[in-house]
Amino acid sequence: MRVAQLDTAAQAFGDPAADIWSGITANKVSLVPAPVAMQTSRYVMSKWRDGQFGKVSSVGVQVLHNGEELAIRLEWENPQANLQRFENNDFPDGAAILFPLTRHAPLFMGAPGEPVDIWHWRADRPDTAHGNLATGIGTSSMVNEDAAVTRSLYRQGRWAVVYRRALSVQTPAAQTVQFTLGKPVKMAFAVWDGGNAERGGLKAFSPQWLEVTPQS
Amino acid sequence: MNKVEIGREIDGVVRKPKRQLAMVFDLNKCLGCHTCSIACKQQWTREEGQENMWWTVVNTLPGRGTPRDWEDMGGGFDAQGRQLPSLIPTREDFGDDFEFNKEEVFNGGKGVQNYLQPKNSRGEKPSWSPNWDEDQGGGEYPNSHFFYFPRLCNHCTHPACLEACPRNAIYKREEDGVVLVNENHCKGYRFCMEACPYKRIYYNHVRDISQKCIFCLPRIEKGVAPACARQCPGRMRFVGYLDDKDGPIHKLVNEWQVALPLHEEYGTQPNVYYVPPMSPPSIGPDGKVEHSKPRIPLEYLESLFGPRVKEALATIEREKARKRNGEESELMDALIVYKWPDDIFPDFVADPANL
Amino acid sequence: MTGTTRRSFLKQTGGLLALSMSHLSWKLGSNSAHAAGGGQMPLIDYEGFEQVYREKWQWDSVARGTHFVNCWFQRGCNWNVYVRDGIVWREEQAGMYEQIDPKIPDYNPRGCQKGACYSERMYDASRLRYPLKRVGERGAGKWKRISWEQALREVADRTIDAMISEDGPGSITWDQGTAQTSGGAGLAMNRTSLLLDTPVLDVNTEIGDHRPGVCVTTGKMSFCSSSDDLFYSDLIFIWGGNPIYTQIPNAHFMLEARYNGARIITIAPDYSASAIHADEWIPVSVATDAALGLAMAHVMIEEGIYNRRFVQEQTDLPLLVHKDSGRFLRESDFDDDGSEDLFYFYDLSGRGVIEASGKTLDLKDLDPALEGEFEVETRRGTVTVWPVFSQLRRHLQQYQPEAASKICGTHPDTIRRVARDLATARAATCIVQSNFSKFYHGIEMERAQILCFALAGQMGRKGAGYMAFPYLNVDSVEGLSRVTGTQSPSIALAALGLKMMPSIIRNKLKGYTSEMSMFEMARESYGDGAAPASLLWLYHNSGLDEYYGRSADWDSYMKRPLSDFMDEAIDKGWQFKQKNKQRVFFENGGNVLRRFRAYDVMIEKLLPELDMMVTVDWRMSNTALYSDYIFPAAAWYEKDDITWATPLSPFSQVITRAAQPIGEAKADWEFHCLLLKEIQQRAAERGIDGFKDRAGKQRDFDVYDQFTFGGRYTEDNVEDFLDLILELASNVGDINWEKLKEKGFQRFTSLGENGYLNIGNATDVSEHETITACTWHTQDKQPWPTLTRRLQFNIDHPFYEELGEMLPVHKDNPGMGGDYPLVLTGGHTRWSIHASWRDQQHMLQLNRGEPTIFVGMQDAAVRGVVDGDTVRVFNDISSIEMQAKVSAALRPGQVTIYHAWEPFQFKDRKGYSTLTPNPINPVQLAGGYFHLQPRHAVCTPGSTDRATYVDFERA
Repeated sequence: MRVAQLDTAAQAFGDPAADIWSGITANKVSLVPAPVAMQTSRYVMSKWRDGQFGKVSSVGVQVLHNGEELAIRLEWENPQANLQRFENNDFPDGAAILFPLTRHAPLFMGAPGEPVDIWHWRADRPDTAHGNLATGIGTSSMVNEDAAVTRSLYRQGRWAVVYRRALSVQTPAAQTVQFTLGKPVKMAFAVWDGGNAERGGLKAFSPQWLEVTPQS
Repeated sequence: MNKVEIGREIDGVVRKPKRQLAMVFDLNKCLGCHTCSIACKQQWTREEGQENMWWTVVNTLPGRGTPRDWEDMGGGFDAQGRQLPSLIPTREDFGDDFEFNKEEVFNGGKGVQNYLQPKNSRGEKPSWSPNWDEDQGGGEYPNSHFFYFPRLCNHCTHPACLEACPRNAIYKREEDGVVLVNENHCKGYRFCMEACPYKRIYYNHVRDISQKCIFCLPRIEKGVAPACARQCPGRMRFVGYLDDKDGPIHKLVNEWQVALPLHEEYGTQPNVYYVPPMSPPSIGPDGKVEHSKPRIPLEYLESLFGPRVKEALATIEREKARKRNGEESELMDALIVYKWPDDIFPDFVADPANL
Repeated sequence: MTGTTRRSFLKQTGGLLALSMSHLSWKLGSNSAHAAGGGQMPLIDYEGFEQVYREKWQWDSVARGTHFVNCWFQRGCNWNVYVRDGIVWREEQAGMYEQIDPKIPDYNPRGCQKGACYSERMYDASRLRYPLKRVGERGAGKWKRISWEQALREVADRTIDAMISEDGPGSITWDQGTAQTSGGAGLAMNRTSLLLDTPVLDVNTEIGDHRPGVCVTTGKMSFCSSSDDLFYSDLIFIWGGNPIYTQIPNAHFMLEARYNGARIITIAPDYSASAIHADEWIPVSVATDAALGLAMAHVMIEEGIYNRRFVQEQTDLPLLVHKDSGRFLRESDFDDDGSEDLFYFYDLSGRGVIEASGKTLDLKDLDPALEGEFEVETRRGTVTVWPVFSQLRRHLQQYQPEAASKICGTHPDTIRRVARDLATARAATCIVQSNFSKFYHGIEMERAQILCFALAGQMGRKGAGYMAFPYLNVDSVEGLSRVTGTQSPSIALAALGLKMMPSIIRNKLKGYTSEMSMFEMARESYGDGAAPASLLWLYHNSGLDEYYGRSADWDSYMKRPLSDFMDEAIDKGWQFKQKNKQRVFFENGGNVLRRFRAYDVMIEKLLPELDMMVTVDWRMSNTALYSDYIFPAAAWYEKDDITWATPLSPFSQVITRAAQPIGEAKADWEFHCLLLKEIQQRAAERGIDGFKDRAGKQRDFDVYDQFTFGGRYTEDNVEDFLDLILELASNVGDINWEKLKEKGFQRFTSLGENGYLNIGNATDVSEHETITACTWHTQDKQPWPTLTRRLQFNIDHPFYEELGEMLPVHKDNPGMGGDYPLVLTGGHTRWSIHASWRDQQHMLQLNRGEPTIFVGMQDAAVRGVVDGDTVRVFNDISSIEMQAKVSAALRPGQVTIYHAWEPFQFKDRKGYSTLTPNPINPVQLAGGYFHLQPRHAVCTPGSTDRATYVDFERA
């Protein structure tokens, strides 16, 4: 997927409802439920063995940049918005973008020595995506509270979330993804339907990388 | 120990930590006073997000418990060691935080029509609390019956919470078997709350983590008994290592077998044991005392403590009769606690004020 | 905690947390174990997390402390108070009591859930922080914050105005609550009222703690063994109390005694918390305990299983009475100049009718007859006399178990068996609290109980005894409360001693024991009105006569109205009426507008008459809420003092200033110093020479100079005063304030020399033994302080005669409240000490957050009420709303409201005591009968709110 540079202020595309997004091609990325066999919890494997989770089947992905910042807009269908996280059984909706930090880092949450960078947005804290590092399933650990600025919108049964970040940041490359014009970046996606008590490994995810190249 | 081995029987051997701390609660000495609940609250759960937490609490049984109807929620393991599905109790089930309009009544100048009223976190009149059905009990007058029943995390040998955590944030310490939720690694998924059949794990919505009894680990490490035990005025919370042959725990659990686990069938091998409650005899329809008929139905006690409860009660009665007849009884002497703290938590006698 | 305190506290701990987290890094190693599903699990630095908790368990300092509140039976717990950043963080029982004997359980770790969260309570939204002046309607909570200077000046001026008015100092009344007062420096309250000559209410009968049946029978109110003495018992009755709620730190002794072989028998209408740990629970109908007790007495007598020697020696049962009238045979029967207090028995060893010694109970070789009829020649001719025992035996025929069972609902077999158990026990005791005191006919319930214990000889032995009111205090406090002048305390005390000497000598010559002498002096001074009985004060001064005086409406045994009895008692000097226009009311740590039965009538009738009502407290009580001025008192961890105690836990305890008072709170000692200083100064500034005291004598306004003993003990050096108290004390061993403050407690070494409540315990105290009450009587054969010098069951007082209560009887409960089917009982709650914790967050969260009434299952069902419903509870007197708790434990027809909900917790501020008309029982107006004469705390009429009739319905 090639991403053209637009000559526009970041504010103009930070809003998921901004007009500018209507002109950007959406990539429909298919999602599947995270495999039960890969859950790192016997309880989860037992209770959700029928796979009644991860039903969001696809996410629309749009990407643009203005030479300084890159924005990724995700849009998916969710029957209701789950914003709260107060009650013990409140689980907010969420979405994440995963970037490999090494050439061979596996899409399944990385591996030892092969970390991945995960930008995790959640409906109960909608303004920033947490930056997590992971080296395997169950290992993700938040390293940055503000990995990306996020804005979200729930309308007519659909979530739209825009993640926005400078192409290049001070954080060492071993800890977060860096975008270089002309250089392809791999990413993968996951969404959680909080209304279905989805959290952790209970999610829908994209089993294949989407390669994105920001162009000058 | 790998988390999936803890507490499981592999090659005929149950995999356990090197040592296991345990508690024995003597229900015949429980006053239902909740000094334990308050001691714990004051020590550990006063931060924002913890307002409705009672890591240890006392219930009146028969009763719906804390959280409400927890015994009907499932969790734990089946006979094959498979984890059983369950659900997450709500704040109201646990008993919510109560907010009061004190400022309004005391300083609001709003007149004498104003009075103090509780509201739960949804702004409604509360429908439950951790001790809502205190002293209501069961049976029918004059054969009413109830007893007090303190509860906390059982620090199980086979913790369902630990197996349920997909992040490995729950661990069982090798040196003492204490089960802890690593709050720095917990992400608030709450699978542990679901899986725990005893429902002794709370959710801190401010910090987005699960929290529960930590067996007062900082105290234990300094040789000080846990707050709930050291502050218990009923002197009914024995604390010690299960394998300490000279300690009261081993004596009560293994030698005399008068201390029994709660709901052993949940399959988690709990490490809190209960000396079952005696009760005054029943009263017959003619108003006469029926001395041979205990007031608390045996079936009820068996539903909690299993079939060994009958024998445990018989042992207690027998030893009590020995004392009554002027004979010695090692069991009664152990339960009496002559010298505190030496007799009740011999390995944890340090005075915290002197640390 | 609330407000800035809580915020800064959280901020501080939050900071700690953040700091420790920032030092942690995850070891995301490659050496992971394989998890269930083949995913890879990391090695996690668990110990880094544990450090967070280690750092939470830290403090800056530890101080000794306890809770000054009136926990009474369960009071006296030594706590360590942990302080962090100048704020009390938490408290934990010190657990330092030494074991007195390896064979007896020790006292550790005394405490309860309420004490364990006072650190929370003292900073919550109820806490008073600044002086407040009412600027709105009473009770509306509209205040203006004012300075101490302004508050003191205005209050001092209005106090002076009242004192120099024609109404005089008698128009100023103090209520002394235990939340601030008593013990050590708390005597400030007594000294203030002494120096201003302003009365302090004698509250003990009004609160229903006066144990009237005990007083009638034993001549005193206070005697009690130590809690650990229970370990010697083999039969323990819990009858008239609910110690599992109200003696939390003592309860382990009962349950451990049970493991030591004792049987516990709980007698109560409901299956109470104290029934569940009993070996037998005996249900009894509400207010019928006298019938049960008298039936047990009947069984012991008829089966001949009573303790004959004890009865002969310790009781009035061998004394001869006229067979026709039941009155004692007295010396005055033989001789015109004969004494009214010389009595006789018939000696079976050959000496016939002889005088019973008033000096000793030792019978030596005498063998007083318990039965038989004897002819004696009196100045009115030959009369037939017989022992009280015979009279009693005949009288008890009406209480055969089958007959009594119809009254009390207990099976006759059970009555017989329990009577035999009591008679044959090695050592039987009775845990009984101030419950029966609060029943209209409670006097008879207590008399019947003591009769049982006396017949069984279960008194004054290790592990055996009926328990009265427990009290034990540092003995110098009483004297220091009563001295005036500006000289040093030791000179003042010597002067007081000299003043008392003639009475002491006179009493000694009469052959009085020390306790009789002390009681006699207390009786002599009682009429001066310095301490009016509060129920009588309310009756005469607060318009409550219309309520408390309705006794004859419901008491069918009365042939004339209460006002007749009242007038007669006052005319004869049996009781005292201090009617005085009321202008100023000081509430010093108590809570009259929660406590007074029908407090709403006081609000309506008395408050509008007052110039000023002032409350000193650390929390917003209902009384504070309706006051004109509020002075914020230091909390119990914010001041230095010594507390009073009881033999149940025989240790004098300290409270110490663990942290500085918050806001502008000041210790009550300081308040009294400053108030008197202001009064003295304002009087001088206003050119007022002095005031006329209540006796009409002119006094100076040098009240501060006197209060401080000429400037020796002022607001600045309370610790010196506490040291003085200990220096002058004779019953706490050799300890000074510095050492006591360090240790936190000191075991009493004796009853002391001048505490008239202390001495009632009538026993020696030794270092390595439990305390066993009343051994001076049972072992040393000292007379009991009654008219007959014995445990006295026959009271030949005219009121007793008129009301048919000469011998203990059962009387049906009067139908107070009206014709309603349910009987309302009460009792102290597990969840508060009076109202001090009633609105505490945790206590409410561990309940239902609002006032509740326990109702039985059937009673709820027939009214369509389910658990949790709001119900209207009503009778002829009032109607209130509360939440129903439907319980299997309640006796059908019984409903229970536990103690001390604040009126501001009820809709329309109508608390449960608006339901209880509290009729005065005329028998409690008796006087002029040696031991039945008012003195402080006893022998004035008590409250009678238990067993009021009500009904309820869904609101």
